[in-house]
Amino acid sequence: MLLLSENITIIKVTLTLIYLLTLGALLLTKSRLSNLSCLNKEIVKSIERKVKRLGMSLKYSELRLKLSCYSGILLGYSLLSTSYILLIVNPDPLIAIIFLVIASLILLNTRYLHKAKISCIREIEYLGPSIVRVKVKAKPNLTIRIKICDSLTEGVAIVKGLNCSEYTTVEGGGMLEYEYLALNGWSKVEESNVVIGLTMPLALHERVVTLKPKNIIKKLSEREAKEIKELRSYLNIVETLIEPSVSHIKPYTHGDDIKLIVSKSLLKPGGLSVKVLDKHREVRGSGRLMKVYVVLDKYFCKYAAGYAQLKNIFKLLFREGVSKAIIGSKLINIDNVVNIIPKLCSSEDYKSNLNTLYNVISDIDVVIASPESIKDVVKLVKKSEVRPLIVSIKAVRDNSIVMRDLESTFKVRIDGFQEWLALLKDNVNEVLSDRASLAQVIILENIYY
Amino acid sequence: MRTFITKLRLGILRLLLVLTLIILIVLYNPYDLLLHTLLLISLVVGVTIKLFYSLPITLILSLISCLVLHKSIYISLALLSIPYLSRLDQRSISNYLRILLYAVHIASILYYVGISTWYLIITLALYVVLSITYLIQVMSFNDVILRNTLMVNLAKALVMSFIILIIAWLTPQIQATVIFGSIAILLLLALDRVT
Repeated sequence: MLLLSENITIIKVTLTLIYLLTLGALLLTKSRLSNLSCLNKEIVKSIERKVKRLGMSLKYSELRLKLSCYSGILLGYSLLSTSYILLIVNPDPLIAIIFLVIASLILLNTRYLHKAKISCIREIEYLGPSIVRVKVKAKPNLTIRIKICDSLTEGVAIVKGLNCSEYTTVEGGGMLEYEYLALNGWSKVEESNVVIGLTMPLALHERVVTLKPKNIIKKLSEREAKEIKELRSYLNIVETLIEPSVSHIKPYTHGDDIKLIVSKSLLKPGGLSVKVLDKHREVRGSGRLMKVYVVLDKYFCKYAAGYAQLKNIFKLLFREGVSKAIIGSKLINIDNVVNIIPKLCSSEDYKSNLNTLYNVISDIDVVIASPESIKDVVKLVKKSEVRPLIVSIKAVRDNSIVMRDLESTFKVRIDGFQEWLALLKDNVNEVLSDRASLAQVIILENIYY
Repeated sequence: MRTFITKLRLGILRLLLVLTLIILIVLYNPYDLLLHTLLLISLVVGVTIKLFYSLPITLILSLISCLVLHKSIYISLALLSIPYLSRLDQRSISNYLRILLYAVHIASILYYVGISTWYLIITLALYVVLSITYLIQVMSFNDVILRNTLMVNLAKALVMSFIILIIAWLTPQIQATVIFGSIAILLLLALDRVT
């Protein structure tokens, strides 16, 4: 009996020693553990970066995010602790057998997870100067659950679909494929890395692989030519809107354009009369320099989708023969605008842009404004006597900022983002419905192609 | 149709599991009506309600069985961990909790029933096999391909555990230490892969 109780003491001391040793081992790897990569963390961080640029704050349940990242390791250690407590209460090996099976299953699954190799290809199809259709294909060599996240960089906006796939089981040698439409803002899709999360039920941790995939860049296919046609017809609308229209008629004086003579006046006894065209249209008609003013704001400067839209508007203007634009108080060349925008956007005083516009509005023919500031621009135009053409765009929602599954799982809340998007939409709708404003407004919807 | 079949299989598995557990407890303890009632209540709660709600209810039940009715601590633990049978939840965190509950449940049942008579051993073995299949089914999110891979790994894990058990059996004085030490080493090896 004495021997037995001694034995039990020895067993309990050894058990405690082993338990403490594992605790020590865990503490030794603490710094590496705290830096463990986790796909959800990466996604939330990328959203946070995008949102911070817009001056909004992101709130999420940090505890839930950490729990989801470390749940496997937590399970491992709680299994060990539970078996330790049970064995201390009663050192019968029968109790620990099932813990042993689960521990070996965890080891095997974790090993399996790290044995898997994965290859990735990204097909990028340029549908327009900055809109791309991206198809990501990932191929693991073992049966595994994977989730792919692409374009986690700030400068790319997701217009259709999502940049992250769902967790899907892919058979060894099989392929996971998904696609989305993106707008290249201040960076390009092909520059970004693909982050792949690999999991296995009962593995200790999710494995995160960051790859630089092989990019296959395609040019426009036949189908997209149709969209180009759409653009052409769209451009025609722009042209008809800027086509010369008669303001009033005056008697002919020497030096007036012969083309502008009213044909009916040839027969009139009072002499010839000529058409006088609307001011900004006359400018356009006579081939003089069209003055374009760009109102920079948060939407154009800090929002990747807005940035891409601004680039496209400039390209459109350049094709239309406009080579210079006024931004703030500077006159800049449009062909070089892509390099200049970042510099111009660096000053965050967007209000001064509107003030400058107020001072120079009488000389301006076209004002380019984002949905954010279009209302203010229309107000300015109403106050002044001239009626410049206001060109704006339809606000685009960046899908990579709002992800429904994150909202429910980690309680991700972005203060003011949805409201901001709603405000942009309302601004445009209000301006369009206000027929009494007399301001000429064009809202571009499909300028990417 | 496929999801229906997998769901049905999961349902059948769960039903079999509940039946085996009842048979096991009744075989071991045929006259304790109070214990049977407690078991039935916790089974109904564990199977029908979500893990989040069933856990506190079974905690109360197990505390009653331990403190008021003075039952063995192992049957209280078994009652407490019955919610591992609860409905499917895709959230990974509750799945990990499910495994922990499962381990506690099987360990306490193993110790409570013990290896005494042949019919108990057979029912216990059946219960362990059924429950581990159920767990694998739940953990593989009802995915057939993934379940097959997990089953292969489970077979390897069983062989591994069997070898460790033989080593433990060869050293009768410190069997518990050998098994616990192996659990610790296996988990540390897995952690080494991760970091």
